Amino acid sequence: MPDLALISKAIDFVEDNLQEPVTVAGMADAAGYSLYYFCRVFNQATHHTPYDYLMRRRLSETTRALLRTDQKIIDVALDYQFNSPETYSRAFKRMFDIQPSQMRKGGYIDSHRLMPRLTLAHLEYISQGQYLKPVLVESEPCQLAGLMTLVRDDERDRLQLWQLFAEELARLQEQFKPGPIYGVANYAEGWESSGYQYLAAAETGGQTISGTALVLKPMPRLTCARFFHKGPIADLSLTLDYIYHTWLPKAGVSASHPWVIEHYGHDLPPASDWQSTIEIRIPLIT
Amino acid sequence: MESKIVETQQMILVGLGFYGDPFRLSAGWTEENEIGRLWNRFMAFLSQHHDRIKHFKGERVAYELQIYHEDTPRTGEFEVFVGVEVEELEDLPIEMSVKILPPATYAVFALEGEQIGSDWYLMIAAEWLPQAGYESDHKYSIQRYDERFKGVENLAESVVEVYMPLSPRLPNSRNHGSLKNSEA
Repeated sequence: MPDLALISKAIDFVEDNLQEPVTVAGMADAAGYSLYYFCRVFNQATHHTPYDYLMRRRLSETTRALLRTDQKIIDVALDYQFNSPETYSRAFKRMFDIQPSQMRKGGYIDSHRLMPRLTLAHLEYISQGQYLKPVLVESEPCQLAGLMTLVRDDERDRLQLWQLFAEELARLQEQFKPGPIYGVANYAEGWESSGYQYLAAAETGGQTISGTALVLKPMPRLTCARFFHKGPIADLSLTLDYIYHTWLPKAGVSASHPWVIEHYGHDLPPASDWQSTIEIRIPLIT
Repeated sequence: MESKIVETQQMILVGLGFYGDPFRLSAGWTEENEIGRLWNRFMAFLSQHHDRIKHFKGERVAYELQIYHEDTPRTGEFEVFVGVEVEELEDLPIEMSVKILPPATYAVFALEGEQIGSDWYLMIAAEWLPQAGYESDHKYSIQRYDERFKGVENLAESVVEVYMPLSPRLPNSRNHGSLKNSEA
């Protein structure tokens, strides 16, 4: 296994020099490896090539700069070592599917798509590897009924909602289909500031449900990549970062909806202990 | 690590190449990265069309070159070439490429077991060479595989030789053994 602390040094070096003419050879030096060996162990630790990581970090920071400041696009590009506006636009479009100018004119890039700096926690999590190889699963259209809330604090808001939904489920048991329980997070545009919608739900048999607080959500036919998140819910972002920044680009596929679907089998998610394994499904464009 | 200095004549290698970051797909010591895929392609060609490569020089010996291009330090992308040595070129199959290595002086190291998967390049380039008063131009390195290599699944029982091309010896350098005394 690569020495994750040394890989972290290379990552620190990238972070300190995003606006400098950094090379992969310089990253290797920072870690104390030869270039050839570094390329191998960096890939092992992060599942990115060093150059790909450097580019994704730079592009993500330029996006932040474009959103936060009035700097001209070309100046931002030059600041982050892109030597021409054309090179920059091409690289930007490859990562975000829109041109920097389109984004400036009111386009939207979900902040899930901005590559975060990989921390030692990310590297340790990736090295466990259990969730790294998803399988594709198909699901038939169905109707979900459940309770919805706007989540700002992952742990507290979701726990509260699941407690309320458990009560509803017990009260209206016969109106639900025996089957899986779902947690559906919807990262609608602007979720970064307002929070994301979260639905705790189960499938209905198709009939009307009588609970007044219940939200009905029809789910289309989906093809999803199924991952497993291991550990506390507070670390869910480690899994999501891996899915959005590493797995999707590497697999060459895109998410069809801004949804993260948690799939709980027949049991409700554990109410008190969040140190569990959660099945996560990401709907894909097929 | 066992080492020796050897001088070679020009070498003609016939084989296949790849340019890029070979670990993009997978970085483990498996055959699933681009280097493993390159070997698989080459060995498949060899076994099916053995007679189409003429003038083999020494059976059961194969070479892997790592060639560092001008852009390599910036991007971490480099060329990998795997091939066999021939005495001369004749009727070369179109699928094959050729590398002609100039006569050169090499420091040769026998990597054994775990050393194969270690950062041997750093050990040689940053420690052994300067201590022995040599420099490498870092343009390429050669790995030589013979019957002592037992496959990527059996690295522990395998031996691989590394050939590191040497730049002319530094004028004021001392030999390996006397280095410590001269520094003290």
